[in-house]
Amino acid sequence: MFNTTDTIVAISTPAGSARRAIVRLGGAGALELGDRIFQSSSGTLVDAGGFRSLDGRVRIPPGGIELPARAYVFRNPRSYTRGDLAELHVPGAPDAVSMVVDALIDAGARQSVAGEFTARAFFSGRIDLSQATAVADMIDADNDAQLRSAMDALGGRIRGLCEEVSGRIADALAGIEASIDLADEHIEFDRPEELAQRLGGIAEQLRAVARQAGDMPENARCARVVLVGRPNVGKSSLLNALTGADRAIVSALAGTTRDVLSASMDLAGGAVVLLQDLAGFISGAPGGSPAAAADSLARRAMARAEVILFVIDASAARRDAEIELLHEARAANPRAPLLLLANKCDLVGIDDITALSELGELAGTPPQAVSATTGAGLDVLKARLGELMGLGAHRGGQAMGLHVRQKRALEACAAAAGRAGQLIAPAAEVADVAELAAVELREALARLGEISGQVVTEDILGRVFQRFCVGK
Amino acid sequence: MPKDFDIVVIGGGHGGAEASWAAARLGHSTVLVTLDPDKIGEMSCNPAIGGVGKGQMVREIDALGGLMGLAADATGMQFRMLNRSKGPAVWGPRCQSDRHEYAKFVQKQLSGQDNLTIIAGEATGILIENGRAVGVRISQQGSVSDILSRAVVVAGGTFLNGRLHCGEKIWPGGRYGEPSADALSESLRSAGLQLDRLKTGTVPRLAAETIDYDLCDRQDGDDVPAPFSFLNDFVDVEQIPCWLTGTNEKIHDAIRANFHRAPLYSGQIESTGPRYCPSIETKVDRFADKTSHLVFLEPEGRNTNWVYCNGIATSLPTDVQDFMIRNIRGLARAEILRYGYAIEYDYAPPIQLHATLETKKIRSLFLAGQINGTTGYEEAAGQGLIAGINASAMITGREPLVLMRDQAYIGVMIDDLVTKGIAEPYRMFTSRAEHRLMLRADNADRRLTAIGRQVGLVSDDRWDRYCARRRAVIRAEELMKQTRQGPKSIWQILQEPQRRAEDVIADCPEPVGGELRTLHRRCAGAIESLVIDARYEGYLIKERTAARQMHDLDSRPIPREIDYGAISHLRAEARERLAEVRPRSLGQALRISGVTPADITVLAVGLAKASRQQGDELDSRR
Repeated sequence: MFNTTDTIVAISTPAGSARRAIVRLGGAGALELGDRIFQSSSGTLVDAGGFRSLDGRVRIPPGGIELPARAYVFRNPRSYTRGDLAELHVPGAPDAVSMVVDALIDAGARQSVAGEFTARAFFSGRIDLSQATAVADMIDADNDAQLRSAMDALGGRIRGLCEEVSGRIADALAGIEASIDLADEHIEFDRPEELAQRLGGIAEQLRAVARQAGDMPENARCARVVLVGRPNVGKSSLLNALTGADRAIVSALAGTTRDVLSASMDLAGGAVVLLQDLAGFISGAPGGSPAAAADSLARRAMARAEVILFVIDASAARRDAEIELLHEARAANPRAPLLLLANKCDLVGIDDITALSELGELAGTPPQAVSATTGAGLDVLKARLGELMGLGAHRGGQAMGLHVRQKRALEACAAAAGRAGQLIAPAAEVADVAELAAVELREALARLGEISGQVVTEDILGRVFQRFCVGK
Repeated sequence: MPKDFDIVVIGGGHGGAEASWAAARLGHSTVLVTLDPDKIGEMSCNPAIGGVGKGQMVREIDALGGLMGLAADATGMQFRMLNRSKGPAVWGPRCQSDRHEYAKFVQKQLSGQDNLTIIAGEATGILIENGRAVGVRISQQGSVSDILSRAVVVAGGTFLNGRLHCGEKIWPGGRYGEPSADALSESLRSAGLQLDRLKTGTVPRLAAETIDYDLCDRQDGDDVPAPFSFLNDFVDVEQIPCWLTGTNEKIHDAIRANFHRAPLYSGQIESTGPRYCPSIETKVDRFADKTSHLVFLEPEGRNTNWVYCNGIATSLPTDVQDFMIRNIRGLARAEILRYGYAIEYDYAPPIQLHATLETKKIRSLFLAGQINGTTGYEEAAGQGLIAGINASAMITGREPLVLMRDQAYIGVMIDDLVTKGIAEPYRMFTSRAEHRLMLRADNADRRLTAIGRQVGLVSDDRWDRYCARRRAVIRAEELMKQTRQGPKSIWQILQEPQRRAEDVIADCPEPVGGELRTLHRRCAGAIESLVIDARYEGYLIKERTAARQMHDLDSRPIPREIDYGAISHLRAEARERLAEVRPRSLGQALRISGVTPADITVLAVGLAKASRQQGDELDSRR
């Protein structure tokens, strides 16, 4: 559950980079496993020295894919976890990236769990305290974000299925545990062929769920940065200025933009984020109106945002209205970093500066001067966004990684249930293989628990006493 | 009589016996305070030792140099290896004991032990100074005196505030016919320990000569009885049979008609009883479709006519018990020597303990056995042994003994108790152990005897025998792995499930076969244990890897005085659970329900930050 030495793999793309994906391998066998699929004329990862990069190709035979790739090797011989690290940078086509991860898992790596790379990096002293503290911040938010995104991604139906299957495995395990622990109580076993068939069915069902879970919604892949602010502070102009497109109809008439407008924005280092203008996110929109409908769309977009750009008109800041909206934005999304953008800085007067600094205090961040018209401050803003996304890289390509992780958990559960079935099927009695079948079923439950909540010993015992009348 | 001792142990049950024996054998002047020295080592409940999970624990107690295995071997009347039809990892040795002989054996061991004084009296209070237990107040026939000590072990069983229930009747007592210990309970409470109530039931006991055994099914022991103690190669015993019969619908109807008179249902008892050992009234209620429940007739000794009626624990009124017994097959003329009764008693929720069994609130005060919410002689004995060892360690300043979850069922039990607490009386089940294939009855010596030696409880004789077995195992493993027969080594052939170990060794090429047979003749148990290792090898490798990872986290301590409120970013639920349990290590923290791996990372970061700040403060003061 909290292994610190085996080899783990995760998609570690900085959030939002659609053009390049990073598959990260960590642990004792990281370099060896990397060499299984990466080939380079410059040599192998195992032979590469301390901090090196090699250009080559990732090949996944047979009949698989071949991708141009660059590998980075980070050796850490002194760390107690023997925490060698390898990164394979490949083109960011999601299906291809999934195949790379699958190939590495087939070769013996394990899909990492939430926060695992961070935990290892910290435990092995690879990241220092200040970095780790920043990361702890993110993990905090992550728990929440991952949970929500897990719900989103799986949907109620699949999650319900997981819980149901988990219950069926727990029942099978309870029967076996009861026969072991209550040896004197004349407990009747299921017949081996019946139990094996049931477990086979469970494995099959899990594989089907895994296939569904593997179909990832397209829009889950890109990090979102949202623009929010009172009407007419210049959000749409900023959207256009930042994305270089004429997406939004820009007008001096307040409330011109009535929907969520989106455009992709390039950041330094190849990352791409989705920039959204949440014009509809306004305070006190009247119910039932088109504005209210847009408002709820905007609210959902706000909740999903990775970074919030709160835009104010530096030349006409209205203190109370801005504060109200700021509170609403925070309530809709308490976890994303928020940047305060003072637009139209080219038009600013002295009174405005006082109002601005008050707002800055409330927002917990100093206002950053920008101008959509002159382009002032936009480069600084982009660099800051790039930094925020880079910090997000610790989170391991959240959306994509999560899907792969769930799929993996389902498959591992299916495999373990299948192994239990195969142990039991040829046995004359379940008793002959009871303790080994139990090992497999426990593993199955542990893996499924990564999705639908852990089943603990007490739950199993509860089922035992519910079902079997014992008491000697 | 000297009034100052190193260690005072309160209670002469299975926990107190192990604790006092261990403490005295570790060289500490020890006093055992008991209400009645003739009841030391008493089997209050069923006359049997061991079982699945429990039997493994008895082997562990023995491997560490404890008393229970020796007592069981010396006084067993029928030995059975439970689960023989299943894999050896879950075999559980069990024996029916002569309960009078058992108690006598324990009394003889304790009274003959150097450094150990037995005092008849009631412990009425713990003496506490500056948050530390410094002795015990005792009352002997009305005269009160204080015994000063450096550590106190409380193993009071069901005596703390004990109340017996039989039908509508309630009376105070610790066991049938024995007084309860109410003052001690009050003393613990006023010392700041939280106490709660648990209950358990007992069964009717019958006169043997009034039972028609012809109408019952006979249950015999194993042909070759397996000893509990690693000091014994065999048990030389003439075994006696037990008998099996059952309840019927007529009885169930009568019980249903009298539910309102059962203390459990009338609301007279409100505390929690064990789900795995329900009373007959609970069974009839909860499993209404079952037409018969098993009744095991277990003789209580060779020289007594008392027979224990296992399976029908009850607190129904005596007239209902009479009706029930008379209508059980084979018991039509049976005379009831003692009616079944339920007992309610105080326990201290064990989350208040360190893994050493010392209370967190009061230093040098250790709790062991039922007071920690467990049931069973074996569970009590295991804790008693650890409490005795750790009371000694505290006095001598040595490292305390905390067994890990992959080392012993005793370790699983104590970790469960102090990490998760309990919701019902805690009994060991093998399903509680995540490393079940490692924690076997056959390898308890290889797991623990070296530890017992280091502690100082393993005698030279036991150590020599252990070393001989260890040498035999090392040599045999070497031979099995190096000798090939065809493409495979003997070791690999042993892993084939359809091959019997005897045949494999018989077919083994000479001279290796001869040497293996010689090793087996000399150390049969050890070689058989090795063969089991071979069978499970693939699984064991996986279990060991998982265990190592847990050790890694278990070896990262959390300071006792940590303020969880000061660790930023912890989730509220995790913060609350951590503050409640106050785990000693990151490993234990992770085992708390409601604490996730991500919480552990946050906590680790917080700890590092705190220790850095502390360092900075020290630097700035310099």
